[in-house]
Amino acid sequence: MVFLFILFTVFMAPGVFADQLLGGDDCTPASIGDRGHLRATYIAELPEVLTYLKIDQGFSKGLLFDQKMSNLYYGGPGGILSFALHRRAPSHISEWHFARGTFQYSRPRHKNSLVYNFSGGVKYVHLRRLEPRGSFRFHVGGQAGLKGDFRIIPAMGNSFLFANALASLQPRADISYALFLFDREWNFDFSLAATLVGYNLGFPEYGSSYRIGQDGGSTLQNLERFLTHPGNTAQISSGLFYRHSFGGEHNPNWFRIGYHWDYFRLDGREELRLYNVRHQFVLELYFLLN
Amino acid sequence: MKQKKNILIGFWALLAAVLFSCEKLFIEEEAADDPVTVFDEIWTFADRHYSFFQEKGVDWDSIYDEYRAKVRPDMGQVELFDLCAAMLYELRDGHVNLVSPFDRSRYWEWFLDSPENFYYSIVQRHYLQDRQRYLGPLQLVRLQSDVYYVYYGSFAESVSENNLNTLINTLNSAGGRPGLIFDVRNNGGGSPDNARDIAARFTNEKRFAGTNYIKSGPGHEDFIADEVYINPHDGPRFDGEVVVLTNRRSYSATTYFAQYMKVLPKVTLLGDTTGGGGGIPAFRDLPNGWMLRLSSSRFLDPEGNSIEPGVKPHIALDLSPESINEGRDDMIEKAIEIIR
Repeated sequence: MVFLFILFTVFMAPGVFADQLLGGDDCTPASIGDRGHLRATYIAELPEVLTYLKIDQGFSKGLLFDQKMSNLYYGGPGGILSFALHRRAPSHISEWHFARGTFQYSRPRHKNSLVYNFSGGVKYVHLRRLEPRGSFRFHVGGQAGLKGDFRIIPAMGNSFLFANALASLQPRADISYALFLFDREWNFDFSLAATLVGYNLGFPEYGSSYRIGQDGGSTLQNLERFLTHPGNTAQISSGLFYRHSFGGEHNPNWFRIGYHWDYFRLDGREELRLYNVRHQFVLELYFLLN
Repeated sequence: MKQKKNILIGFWALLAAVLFSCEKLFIEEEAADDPVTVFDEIWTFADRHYSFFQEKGVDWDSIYDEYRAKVRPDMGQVELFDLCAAMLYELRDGHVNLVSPFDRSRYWEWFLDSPENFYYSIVQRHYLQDRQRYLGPLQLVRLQSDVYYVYYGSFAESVSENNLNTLINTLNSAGGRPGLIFDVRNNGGGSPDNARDIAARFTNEKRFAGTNYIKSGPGHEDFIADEVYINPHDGPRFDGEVVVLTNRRSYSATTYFAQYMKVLPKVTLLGDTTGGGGGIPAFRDLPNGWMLRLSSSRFLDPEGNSIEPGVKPHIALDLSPESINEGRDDMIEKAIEIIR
């Protein structure tokens, strides 16, 4: 019950009461402007709730610091691929990321080792539209996700595995800004999310390294388990995007291209911390399904 | 209005620049690669993760005082490596290695002063000859009508379900009361799980093999316990006589294998005490590009004895020089006697 109360208070309430807090209830698609490039007669033919297939793809540059593994920064290139159902209704936006994966290939400064960093998971986002102010549009709500992050470092005839599985609930706020330049509408989106509560399963529990590969391995390991909260976890995601349509007045498909910054810090047992920071250059494609 | 817009855009750009390019402000500083830091990193990692301080009576704090006094900021990499290797040698553990591009520290005393007790050329020329069947990494030969012999040289080479099925089916279809000699001499180890999978083929009931204690905190005696059982495999199993041959170079996972087999009712361990290596290693990537691994668990048999010094055989036997000269392996000959 406490969990549900926190969930409602932090994630849903800002959305539910947003109109009362900020005033106004004129949240029709036309006033929001996210279909502004479409011809008015065509908008009238579209359903009220638009469902898109969203495909995110891009490159990333990461910085990993895992104190169970070493006291070194590991940096390098990577990639991201995600598939989601994106719904836009007059009152809210929701996204269901049903397949989401990243890969990072990282080396420390001495270049004698490398880390293969995989992650994968699912995420649900629900954002309530708030009253636009001038050229600004606001969305608040939350997201819930489940993610597995695996760091494999081949060394000394083995591959040593360090991993985390993390469930998290995050409040989130998005701000969009529409700008007219060169006779075109340019939309810039900024989003910010931070972990409120979650649960972590870490591996290994403390220091024994799980080994896979040539020289054997052992499943004789335990998991590090604890609740995550702002006191031991920080996860901040922010992004800056340019958003535009694919083209004509009868084309409802659109794309976003931009820059996404993700910062993650987890304080494990015995002050062994994990940091994972990613700069991501992302192209998001939205294809109307209904 | 236009000025207001420009201010907002400028604010966004500034916020983005701060967030996107200064993440190192929000991350702890990484370790330097000077000799003092590297030495401290090695000592501290061992202090918090090594599992045999108490069992071996090692006073790690006094070792720090002794070796730390010899570290100079201007010392070269080779000199520093030799110093750190000497410090780690005090742990007397074959699972402790410091690896650099120019050397790998080691501790080999666990087998250097012991009889060799295994000559592959004798086994190959007089027992395997060219009659053996390869079941993955297992070399199987029928020595006599009711005696089969398997040589397994490394637990790092996985034995598949099919390999084991074939082995067990061969034994079970031989007729009579066949016995098996399972030779793991000079097997330097690999996966303890692999060892357990094989042992599971030689029991019809669940057997308690011992308790694994895994480091769970920085204190020298911070461990969590995990009881290890050998559960009978669901597939084909063999319940005839098995003789396991070991020598001092039966190390690491092979020591685990010897312990797993020792608790089974129809198994006889024959030969020399295994080399030990009862600690599963933990790994550390060091700031100057070296790597460190060391034991971070320990295993006690059902009687509470550590397997770190090795698993003792039921029947101790060394190869005699006369037999070696004659191309005979006393352990295999004795195992044949036991089975028959």
